[in-house]
Amino acid sequence: MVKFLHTADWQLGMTRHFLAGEAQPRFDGARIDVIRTIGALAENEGCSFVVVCGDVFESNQVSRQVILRAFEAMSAATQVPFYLLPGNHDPLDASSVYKSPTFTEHKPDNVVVLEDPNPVDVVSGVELVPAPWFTKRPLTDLVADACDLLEDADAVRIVVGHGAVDTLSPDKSNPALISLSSLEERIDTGQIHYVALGDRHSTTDKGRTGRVWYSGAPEPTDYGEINPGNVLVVELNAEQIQVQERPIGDWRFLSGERELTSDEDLDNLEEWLGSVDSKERTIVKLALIGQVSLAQKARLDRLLEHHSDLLAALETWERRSELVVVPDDTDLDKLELSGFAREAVDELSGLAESGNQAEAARDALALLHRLAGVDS
Amino acid sequence: MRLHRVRLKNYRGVVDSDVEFPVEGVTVVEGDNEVGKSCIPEALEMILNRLDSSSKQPLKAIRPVHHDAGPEVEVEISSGGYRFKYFKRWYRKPETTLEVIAPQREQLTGREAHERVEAILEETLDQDLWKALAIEQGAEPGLPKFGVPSLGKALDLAAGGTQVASSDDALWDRICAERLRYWTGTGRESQERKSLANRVDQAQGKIDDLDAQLRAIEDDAAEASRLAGQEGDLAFQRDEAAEAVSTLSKQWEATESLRHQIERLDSDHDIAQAQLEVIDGNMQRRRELVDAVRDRGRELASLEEKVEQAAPGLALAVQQSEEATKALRAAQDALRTAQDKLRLANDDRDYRRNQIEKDQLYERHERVLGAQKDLRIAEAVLDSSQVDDELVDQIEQAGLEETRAKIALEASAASVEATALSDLSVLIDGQDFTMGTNAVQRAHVTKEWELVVPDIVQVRVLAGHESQDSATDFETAQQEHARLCALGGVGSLAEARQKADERREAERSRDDSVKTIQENLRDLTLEGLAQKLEGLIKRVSSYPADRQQAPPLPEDLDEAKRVVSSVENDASECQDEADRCESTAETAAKASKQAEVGAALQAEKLKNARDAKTQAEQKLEEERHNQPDRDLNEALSAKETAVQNAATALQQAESDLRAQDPDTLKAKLDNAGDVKVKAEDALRTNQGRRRDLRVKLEARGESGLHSRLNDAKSEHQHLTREYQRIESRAQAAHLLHQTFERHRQEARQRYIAPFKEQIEQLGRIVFGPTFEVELDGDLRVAQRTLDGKTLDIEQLSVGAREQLGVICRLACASIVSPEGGGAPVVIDDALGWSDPTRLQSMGAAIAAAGRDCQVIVLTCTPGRYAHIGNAKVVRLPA
Repeated sequence: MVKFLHTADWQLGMTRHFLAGEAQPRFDGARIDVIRTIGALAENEGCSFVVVCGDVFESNQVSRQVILRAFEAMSAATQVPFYLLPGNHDPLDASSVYKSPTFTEHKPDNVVVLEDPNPVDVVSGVELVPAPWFTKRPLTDLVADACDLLEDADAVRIVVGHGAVDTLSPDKSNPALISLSSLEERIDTGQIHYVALGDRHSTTDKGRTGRVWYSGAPEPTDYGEINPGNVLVVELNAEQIQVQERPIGDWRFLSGERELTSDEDLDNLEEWLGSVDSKERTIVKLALIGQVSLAQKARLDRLLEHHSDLLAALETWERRSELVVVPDDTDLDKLELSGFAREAVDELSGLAESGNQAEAARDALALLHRLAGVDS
Repeated sequence: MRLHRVRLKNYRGVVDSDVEFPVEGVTVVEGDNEVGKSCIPEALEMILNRLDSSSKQPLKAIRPVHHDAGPEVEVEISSGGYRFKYFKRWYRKPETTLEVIAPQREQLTGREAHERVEAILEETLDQDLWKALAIEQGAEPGLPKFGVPSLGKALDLAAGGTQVASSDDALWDRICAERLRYWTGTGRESQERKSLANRVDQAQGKIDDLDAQLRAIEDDAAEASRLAGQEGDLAFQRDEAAEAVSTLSKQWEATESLRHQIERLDSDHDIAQAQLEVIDGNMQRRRELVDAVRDRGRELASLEEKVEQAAPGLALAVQQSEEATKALRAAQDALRTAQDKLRLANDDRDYRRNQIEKDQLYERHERVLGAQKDLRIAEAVLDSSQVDDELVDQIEQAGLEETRAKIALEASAASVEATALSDLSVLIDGQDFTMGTNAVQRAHVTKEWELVVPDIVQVRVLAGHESQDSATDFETAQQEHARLCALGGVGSLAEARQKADERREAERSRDDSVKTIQENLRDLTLEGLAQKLEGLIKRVSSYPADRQQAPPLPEDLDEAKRVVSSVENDASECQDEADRCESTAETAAKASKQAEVGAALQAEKLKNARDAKTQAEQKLEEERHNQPDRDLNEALSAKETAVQNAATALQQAESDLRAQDPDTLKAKLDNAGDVKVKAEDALRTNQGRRRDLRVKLEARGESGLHSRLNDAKSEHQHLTREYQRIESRAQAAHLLHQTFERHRQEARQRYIAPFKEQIEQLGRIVFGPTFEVELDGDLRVAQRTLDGKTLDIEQLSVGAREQLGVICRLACASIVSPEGGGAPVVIDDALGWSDPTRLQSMGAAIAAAGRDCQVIVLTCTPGRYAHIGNAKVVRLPA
């Protein structure tokens, strides 16, 4: 039995625009830290090696700092070699990060780049079958191509690939899709024994064999990742296989759609936001729909502002938000206006109901509220 | 607010005064200054604002003048729904009591009462308006400074608007301030928004730039891949071309021997051809030599003929030249003889001419000498006598003068006769006379006459004055006559005349002599004349001796002239002849010379021609000796055959080569070579380009472009959000401001119109039916129009401004005051600047306004407000 650690999609150097201020450096730091965690885990579990199945770097044009910090983190686990596969984000083209002077000069001994489809002996009787990306847009199924080169052997073969498998991919015309069925055939015939895949950030067991896996990203990178933040500890031989998910990610992406029409809805939202754990490492995106009064909008704004400060980031999902602020009579009465001011407010209220100035009019009324100081 | 009653006690100079005011209409309060008609507004201020415990400075002033009692004020006021009586006393037994009558009865004292009144007024009275409606005495007469909000509010309310909270003005200010955060005063976007928009653009620019850089890297990487792919193709092309080159080269070599043969044959042909040309050249030269011998012979013959023909001409020319020379010499001899004759003739003529001249000169010389002698004589006469006609006249005149003086003297002188009565000696004028008896001594005494009889008597007769003067005149005349005679060296007039005649004669003689000398000397001096004469004499005398004998000397000058003329003609003819002969001789000599030169030239040519002929003959001989003509002809024909043969062989070989198509072969071979070179070049270029790309990508890949792009995108997104947020705020602020502003203006228009109307209505009473005003944003009168003429308020007279001020207050009060609202208008002795006519019409205006509001007029000049018809007049007791 060979035991190794399967991870992918580190995407080092990734920045998230919604992370303002100190959150981005912390996010960056966490993504380097997780490499150390992986190394430590691999050592503790007695893994023989680590395969990183593509997209190690966010881009070929990452800064020097990113490369050096990643090396620093990987070199901490001296006993475990890291096999890095170039993926679609960091293909092995002429501009490849793996060919950059910084990379080649500082690469620690325990880091190996899988530069061609030739099988690599990792431990006795175990071969890696890499399918590295050479361009951003390959025109063939690279994994299949790599497997086609294989000759018969007794070794346990672990295919290391990157990209979407053809089942469930929306883009059927993509020539680079990995054919799941052909992999399964090869597994069935015993030509290969495990397919370690990257690209999908959610940990996924693909197909029927239990030997084709996406490890998912070790730290989540976006909303909508179903089961991110894991690495896989895999133990196998030709007959048996055991794949264990190990959650190691610290960060979370939460998104939610909320309908707001009453004070109760606001209460619920407040309660929900309050209940989020590890707020400083949680990124929340809210789609808000519904209709609120000026006073409710003011409360909502205060609420969101408060949690913006607590959370790593709190975004409103512009595309899916449809929150209409309509001043109600109470709002307007609270202003206690009379004379021409009252007339002006009445006119704005009329405008706020519909038409192309509705939004500006609602904003104007909200502004009036603020200026009148009734909601403070 | 309405004032119903004011009672003052022990207040300043007022002991006790109680004034009631009707609720509507005008109340005129008359009183002296000291009595304190101004006390009423002051007392109102005191009671409404000062606690009874206060002892501040203003309160000290209201203490009664002459007695020690606490000043008291009691008022009855209604305001809003309230009506109350209010009393205060200060200093002595301070006290405050309030009795609210309506709406509900209340009774309060002390501080509580004070605060209740304050609360009531706060609730029901607009303090600003109250102050604005009062005109204090001595204050700058002018327009009221209504607080805009206050007056606006009051007017708005009066115009049917609803009660506006005072906080609204602050809100409006905040709306304006909020708008100014995003917009400039003139409605453009604020600097902050502009700079934010700029920053968004810059961030976008940065993204575009980084994006472009990344795309460039991607393109480079793609190109590198493509180049790598091409490299195999290029290597294949190169190898293929190399193989083609090798195959074709072998074929090409096969044609090579044939080409060598052709080259050789070509060379043989060329050599034979060249040899043929040499022989041909020899033939040609032989022909030329033969021709030369013939030509030289002809030339020689022709020349010899020419020389022969030329010989007689030359001899003739020489002969002619000699003859002409001889003729010339003869003519020249004749000319010389003629010239000799001419010289002699000229000399002869000159001789005769000199003879004549000599005689003439001699005569002139003689005449000069004679004249000189006469001149000297005449000059001697002139020197010795000075008597001229003028002097003669003077002497004659002086003589006449003397005679006349003498006659005058004798006529005037006393006649003295002394008769000696005895013999006696007397001294008359100092002269001794001896007188006998009866001897008479007579004297005309012109001056003084003295007769002394020694020892006896001395008689002196003195002439009278007239006589003395005559004597003096006579003496003077006498002296002058004598002087003039002496001057002429004559004794008498006759002598003088004689002398004068002599002198005249001498002068004439002198003038004649001078003239004679001048005429004969002409331009010569006497010496010159003498010399010339001497020379001529010498020449004339020697000439006949020196002259040749023959021919004889001409008889006279005329003869000599004739001879000269004749000889001159001969000489001239001889000269002509000589000239003609000279010309002929010259021409002949030239012709002779020419003929000689021509002959010499011909002789030279002849010699040359002979030499040339000999040379040509020798050369031909030599050549023929070397190679006889027959040999030469044979060699030529043999070589022509050889050339023909070589050409045939060459053509054959070339035709063989053409059959193998070497051009196509060569073209193919060259092309294959080019293809190979091109493929190699392309391969090199490809490799070079790949190397460049690799270097470039390495250099750029290190710069972390992706991170920078992400950063830039982040920044752009943040900025865009901020921008959108600010923009929507700006729009909201704009809309809010715009809407409020519009409604504000509308509201203002609503209450401004009645206000303006009211002012104009009251103003027309004062200023006439054409009176109009224009109000500004602060509700103040900005312009006044009268009879179509519009003036700014500052241009009006003080009086007119004051009147307008009163009218504005009245207008305001009459609008806001109905039903107990607003406040009374208090006029404290205003209109001091108005003339009686205006006062009258102002009175009418105040009266008109008084129908709608409460007007209180305080005055110390009762007449000023006499024209307010419906006024209630209250006289404050002194």
